[in-house]
Amino acid sequence: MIELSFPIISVLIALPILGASLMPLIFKTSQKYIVIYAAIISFIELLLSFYAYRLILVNGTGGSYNFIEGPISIIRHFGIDYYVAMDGLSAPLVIITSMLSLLVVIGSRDLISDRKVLYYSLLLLFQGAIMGVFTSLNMILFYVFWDVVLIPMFLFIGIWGGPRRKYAAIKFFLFTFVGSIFMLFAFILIYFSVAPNSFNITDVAGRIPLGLQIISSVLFLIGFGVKLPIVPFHTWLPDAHVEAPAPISVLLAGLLLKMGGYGFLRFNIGLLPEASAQYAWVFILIGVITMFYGAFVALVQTDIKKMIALTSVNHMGFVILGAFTGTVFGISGAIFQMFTHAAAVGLMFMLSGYLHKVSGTRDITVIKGLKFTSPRLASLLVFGSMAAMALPIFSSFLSEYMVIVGAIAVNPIYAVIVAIPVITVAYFLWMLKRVVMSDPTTSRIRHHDLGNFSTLTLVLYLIPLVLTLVVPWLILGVSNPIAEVYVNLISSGVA
Amino acid sequence: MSTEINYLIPWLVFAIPILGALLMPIVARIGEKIRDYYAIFITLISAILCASMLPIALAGETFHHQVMWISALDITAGVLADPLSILMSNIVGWLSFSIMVYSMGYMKGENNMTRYWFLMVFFIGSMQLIIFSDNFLQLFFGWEGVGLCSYGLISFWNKDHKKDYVGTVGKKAWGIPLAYSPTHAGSKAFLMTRVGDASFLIGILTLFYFSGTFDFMELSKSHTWAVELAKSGLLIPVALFIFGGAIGKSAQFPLQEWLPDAMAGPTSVSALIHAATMVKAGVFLIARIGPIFVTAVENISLIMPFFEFVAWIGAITAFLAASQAMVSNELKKVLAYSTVSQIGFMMLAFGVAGLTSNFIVGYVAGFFHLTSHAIFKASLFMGAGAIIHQTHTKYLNEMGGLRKQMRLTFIAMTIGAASLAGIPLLSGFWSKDAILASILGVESSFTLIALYGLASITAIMTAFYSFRMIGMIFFGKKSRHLSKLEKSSGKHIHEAPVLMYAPYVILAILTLALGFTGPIYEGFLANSLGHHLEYAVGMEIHEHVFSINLIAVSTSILAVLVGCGSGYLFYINGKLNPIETVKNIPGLLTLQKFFVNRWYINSLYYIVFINGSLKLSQLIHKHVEVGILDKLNTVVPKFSIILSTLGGKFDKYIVDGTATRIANFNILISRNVRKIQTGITEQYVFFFALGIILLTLLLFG
Repeated sequence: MIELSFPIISVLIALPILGASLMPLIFKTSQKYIVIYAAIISFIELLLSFYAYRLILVNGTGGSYNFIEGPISIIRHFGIDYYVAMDGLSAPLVIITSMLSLLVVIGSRDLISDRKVLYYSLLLLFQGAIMGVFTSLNMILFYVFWDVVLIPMFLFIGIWGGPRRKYAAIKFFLFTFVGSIFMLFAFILIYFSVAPNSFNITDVAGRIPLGLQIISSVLFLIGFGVKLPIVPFHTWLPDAHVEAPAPISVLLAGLLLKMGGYGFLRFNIGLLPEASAQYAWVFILIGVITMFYGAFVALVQTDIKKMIALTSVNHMGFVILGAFTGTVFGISGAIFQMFTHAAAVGLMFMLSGYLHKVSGTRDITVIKGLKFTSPRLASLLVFGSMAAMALPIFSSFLSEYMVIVGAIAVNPIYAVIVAIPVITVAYFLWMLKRVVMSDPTTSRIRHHDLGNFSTLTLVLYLIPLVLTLVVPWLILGVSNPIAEVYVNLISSGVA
Repeated sequence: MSTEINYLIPWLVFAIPILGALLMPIVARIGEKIRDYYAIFITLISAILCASMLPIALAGETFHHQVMWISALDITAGVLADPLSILMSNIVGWLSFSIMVYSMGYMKGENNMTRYWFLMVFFIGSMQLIIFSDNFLQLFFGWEGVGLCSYGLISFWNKDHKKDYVGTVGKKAWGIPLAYSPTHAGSKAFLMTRVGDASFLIGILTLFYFSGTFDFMELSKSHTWAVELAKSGLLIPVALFIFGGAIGKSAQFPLQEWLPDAMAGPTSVSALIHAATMVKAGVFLIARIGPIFVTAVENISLIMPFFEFVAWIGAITAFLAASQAMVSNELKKVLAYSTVSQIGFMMLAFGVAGLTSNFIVGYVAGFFHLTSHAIFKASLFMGAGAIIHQTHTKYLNEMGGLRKQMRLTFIAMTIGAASLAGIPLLSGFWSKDAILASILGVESSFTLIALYGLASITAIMTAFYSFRMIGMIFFGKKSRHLSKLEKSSGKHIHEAPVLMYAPYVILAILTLALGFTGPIYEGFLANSLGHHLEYAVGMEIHEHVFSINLIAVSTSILAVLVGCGSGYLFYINGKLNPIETVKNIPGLLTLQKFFVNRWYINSLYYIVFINGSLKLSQLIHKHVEVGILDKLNTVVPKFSIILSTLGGKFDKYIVDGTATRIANFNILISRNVRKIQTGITEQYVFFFALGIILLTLLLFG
């Protein structure tokens, strides 16, 4: 447990929101420096997150809450408190949030040209809200941040989206909003089940009766399952991704989906360990089905963005699977997987945006010989695919296989999921064969290549993936302590 | 001690090529010539480092060095330099060097050479990483690294021009085309080996779960894991899953189909990756884990089914591939099938090792064959490359009569082919003989007879196709294609440049040398590998003295006589006409078609796995994703409408007036989105953010 003399988490949450609200005032007349302004705020966020992360990593306090602020009562009679902290589960997500937000701000420079003030202020608002999601220790506070995240995302898709943006935006909103109602319902049930009534996670932990744990598990399954997403609640995802502009897809897949994974770990495992231990097989089964389903449906997609979106479904299955294995490998691997997936899929979505920009289409069957016409874009596409395929030159390999080890520990039969990376390889190779290779002369489309700056920003996505492969301690040093805490919770739940 | 070495050397053997490859794009900026020499120089340094470790191998000692890697999970990285890895690394290192030199000539004038050198050098580094890894996880990194480079190099000519296709365009078996573009072949290779890798991973992860370690040394020290595994009935499955990786990488049945098509890559690549080194990784893996499993179990009969499986896979593959090599019309494909077949022989030997009372006999035979095959097959491939380069054709029936015009190549390739055929006193003879002799030690008589029979028939076929190949290239009449070529260019076909022929001539000489010293080399292997297995791994080894087994020798000589004799009569002497013979003897034509169509295994895989999973995927997409789930979507808006009607105060934003027009999703959407576009959103967000800030200020104020 680390304490600091200044409220670092509140700064992480408030700074981007403050920055967002000042934006319309500062950039009323000229929008020249708007990207730089947003980037500076995101950069400060990144530095702060690094600082906090480093403290947790070096001190090895991932297993407990650090930088606790609160509880400060907001509405006393209803137990709504301002109560935030950061542990080994939050910290990797906070750091990847900061990284992706900064990269998205920079990356939007090339891809977004209209209504910039609104766009960048929403970006910052999104960042602040999601920081709140990953650090809240009060369930109502968590719920508020959770739904605040939806608003910028809804507007992103609805305003800057593709031709069917209206449909996709509403669909996205309804699905995730309905999901969160189930979650809220569970929170309220939990609130009344403990005496004295409380929404604070630290108060209710270990005091929820088994019957309610089971009911809450089902409610959470819907609430977090929509976000993760699990089959069959995933149908909003391909639509939202296809319509969303590329930088927003990065946020959507890179961060928003992680809220689901975070929720499963924080609430299902952390608060409902007995129910999670007893019914782990249900969740594992759902995870496995989700993975296979996502992989199979991805195989026939011709829109590269839809394919990547369904890859996310496939990859996020690993998170739910790992979480419910109840082993250090599985849980730590699930946290690691959220981190690596965010970086890998972020890169792929960004690339799909550039691909659309340079070739005018995202149709896999139309684009050909990208290697010859846009060598830089093509090389990055190959590297991004390798990261998504979990080849052992990026840390996505480690995270996926940690989850698999965890699953094998539960039951060797789960080793069948090793087939997933094979299918993933199949559709990525097929995509590469058609898009990157082949003879460009047979294609009528003329391409341009990436500029130096864009190339640099895209390469930045790969750095955490290589770094955490060479030194996995950077993540595991934080996530293993919390995984051990959860394993203890679950194993005492079994006994 | 005299065999002390610097602990950095085994690390450097793979680190230098891997890091050197990463610098390739930068070196390429200086100049093309410098880049080429740089690539070869790196390979040479790595090979010299390998050679510097030979004293350890000679003494049969072991050098082990570890560092912490994933501290949180207590996983270490390390190098293990024992006789097995040092000998293997020398084979790889020096063959790589000779093939890199050859590449200079063969790839002259090609574009994208930076990519070529990068992949080749990175490949060598990854291969050495496999060899020196002291644990499964690290080995797996190298394992995937070589697979990646193999993929990149098979698809090197990635514009997919028709001339770069492998196989004969237009031919089909069961409606599945038998010709593939380079990128198709590359993807196929990657995907098929990936199936093996998945199996490999299941194996090592399960093993890790039971033993808590990936480390080879620890695995052979502690035996509790084997007891635990055996108790849950998983010992044999785990061993077989790990073997699955070897099946994929070494193109053994049933994952053999990628290797023939991998010939779409440049010939230098085929020589290095698909003949001499990468495909041997699977064999190496078995050599690595075989002894561990043997020492881990209390009673060898517990693990025997595993070795029996390995032996059977090896024998079946050897037979299957040899039958296809006899009928192939593409020079490189003959060599590819032959590689698959010969690796089958090696697997057979390592499998047999566990079935006999003295492990070392089969073990040494397998490694001996690995050595001799690597050398003569690399030589044959490079020779074949030179021929293809000079004659502008890859088809055997478009060659012929080249023995005078390409004299050196003729001699070198004949030595290689003769060694492959197993002609006495050449390296292939000794090693194949050793394998046959080791089979005779198998205790179960059925297995003995069946394996020995398969191996002998394969030996006959091997001798036959070796002579067929030599005959079709160098003897007989000059083909129409060649006459036309000479006429159009106005020049006679001549020997390849020295940069090309020097490497394969030297390797041919090595084949001769190894042939003369065959028994001595075998004795040396038995000594140093045996010493290692006995003291470092802890196996019980009976001393193995070289002796001539009369049954084995007479079998191999008989096989040579039958195989080479018929090959000679058909293709060199010309007494018999192969086409007429096939037509005249009933059933042969069908059999030939069966072999040419690859036993229909390739087509079967395409129909079941490729078309099948696409079909399944389409069905799911059409009927489940679009058909059911998308339709169910209306449930969600309906639900939210009901909720909001009941509560009456849900965000206006979502439902807004739609309660009166229930269930029409589209209307719901269009109505609401109209709001977004009225321009009030900016204000909305502004006030929203302001509100939050005020709230925060109130809190801390």
